[in-house]
Amino acid sequence: MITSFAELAEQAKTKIAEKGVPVMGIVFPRGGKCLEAALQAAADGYIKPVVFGPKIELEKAAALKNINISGLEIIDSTTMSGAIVKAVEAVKKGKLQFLLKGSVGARDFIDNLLLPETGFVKKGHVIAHVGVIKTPRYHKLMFVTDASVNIASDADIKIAITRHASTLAKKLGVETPKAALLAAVEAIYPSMPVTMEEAAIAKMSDRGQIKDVIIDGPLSFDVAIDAEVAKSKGITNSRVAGDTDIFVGPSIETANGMYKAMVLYADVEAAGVIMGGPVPIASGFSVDPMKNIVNSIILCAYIF
Amino acid sequence: MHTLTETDSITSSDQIIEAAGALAEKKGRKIVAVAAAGDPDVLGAMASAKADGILDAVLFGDRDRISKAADTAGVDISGFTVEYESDINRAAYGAVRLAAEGKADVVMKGFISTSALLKTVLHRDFDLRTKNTLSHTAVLDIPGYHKLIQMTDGGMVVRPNLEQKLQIMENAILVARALRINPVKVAVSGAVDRVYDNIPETMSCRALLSLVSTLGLENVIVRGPLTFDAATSKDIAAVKGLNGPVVGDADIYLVDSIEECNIVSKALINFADAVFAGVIVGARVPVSLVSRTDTIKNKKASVALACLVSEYYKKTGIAGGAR
Repeated sequence: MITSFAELAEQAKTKIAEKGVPVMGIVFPRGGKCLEAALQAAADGYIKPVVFGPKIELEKAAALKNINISGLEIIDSTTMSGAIVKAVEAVKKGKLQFLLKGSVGARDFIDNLLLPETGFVKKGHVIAHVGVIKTPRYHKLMFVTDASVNIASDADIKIAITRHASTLAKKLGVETPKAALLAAVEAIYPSMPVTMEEAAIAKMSDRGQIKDVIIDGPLSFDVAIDAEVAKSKGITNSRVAGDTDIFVGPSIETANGMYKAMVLYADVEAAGVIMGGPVPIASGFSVDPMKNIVNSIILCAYIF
Repeated sequence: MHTLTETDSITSSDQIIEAAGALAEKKGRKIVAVAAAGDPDVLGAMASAKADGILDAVLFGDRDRISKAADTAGVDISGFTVEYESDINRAAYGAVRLAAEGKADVVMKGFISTSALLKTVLHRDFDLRTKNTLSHTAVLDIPGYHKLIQMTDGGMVVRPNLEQKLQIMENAILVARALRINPVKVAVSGAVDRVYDNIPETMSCRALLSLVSTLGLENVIVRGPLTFDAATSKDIAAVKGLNGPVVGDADIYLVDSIEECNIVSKALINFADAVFAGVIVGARVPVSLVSRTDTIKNKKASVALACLVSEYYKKTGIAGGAR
């Protein structure tokens, strides 16, 4: 089981030595830290980059920052939606092993990605953002979802999101991932709809209706991370409490706030990836320092 | 060391405690009425705040329970006035009555459920209701953020409607005023930083802002939707092309749901060493509560905060709503 980004980088190198260097499509970079992260990952031998973006603008931005992009293959696309369409075409032809979201707003990127004409996924197919966080305060990697894709998730979507996070956790060596459906409390109250929905999903998990991942909820954040707190709150028979791999936010606002609060104020390293599509998409936020974008790329280079 | 003056904004949890101590020294200690005081954590917090000169307390509760709890906490309660009452609800009634009579400034939750205590606070026997809903606000002191930030509501209103959200915001503004913050900058939470017609939460944020704009609140600046990073980091906001007085400088983060508030706050407390002070506002007296998992410091900061809020109510005659 991989428990740190240093370990992930090492394992990714080994994998690349066996399978070859993956080709990564950078979707609509504008000369920001995404491009720099991609160039660094390329220089370190993790990827071969291909850019889908505005050629002239990029060349100008690179010149300003003194970045050499002369060797970079650029498929010229002046609009984000155009870049997405071309990148997805290349994915379908098997030319790209994964994608990197460029320096564009996450919401606009997702809205464009999910337009039917891109053909990235079929209508109704759920994709999800999974943030991977390493803090010295927790004994394993945290998988936080969904901070950026699904807006109003019903139970079906929450299960799909959890499965995507579970797929990622398994690829990183977690045998049977444990998912906590987070709430403000750990008791189930009919007056709190979130707790009712989460309890129903947990029941589905208990009965083996959801395979390959153990789901419990509702669980509050401190119960999810700390077995002692769980015990003190009377949660003694949970298979997840205190040992959670996957932290499922009850709303996009919650997962988004949780991820960003930790990246900004806690001593963490992080990575982000959109799972559930034909290929993974490395995906950082403005809040992520370049190191986290590089981590995201390495993560995809390991799991592709 | 710079000593906090009476007009300085309070920007840390240490300053909350310091300001409450200074207030007690100048104007006398606030009296805290403890409802069902047989709780070791509460007695520990009361004893330590009393020893620090912040407050005095009147304990209501069962004789055996209180003495056992004092033993468990290892504190001497001989300096407190104690009103023995073996029934939990009657103990709460006594504590709330003391506050309603103006003989106590803060009601403190002891060995009683929050809902039972608040039902007593809102009882028609007492004139403690305001037109606002009761809400919980957590004042967070996050290392790395240059001021305090309130997260609200993570404890009371499950899925606030527009009017309730406005009241929760007003309640938090009063707490900000008690912390001498001026102007008060409110960021309304979102997963994105602008309104999208396919994201209902951003549409209700827009509705809230337009309602706020009709109220003419003085020295209050409200903006939303804002992500947590844009609300608390000017650098990140700049990268996103956002500017204005609220971005990167929020005093209040008005969240979308009880879950968001609770979970994001706990992530900050557990992994970013945030210290929090919590208080329930919206009644004519602040209601203080501490929990078993709180550290000694955040318990102390919580009761100190309640004392400051009580003083603000007293000074201004305002409680639970600026409208």
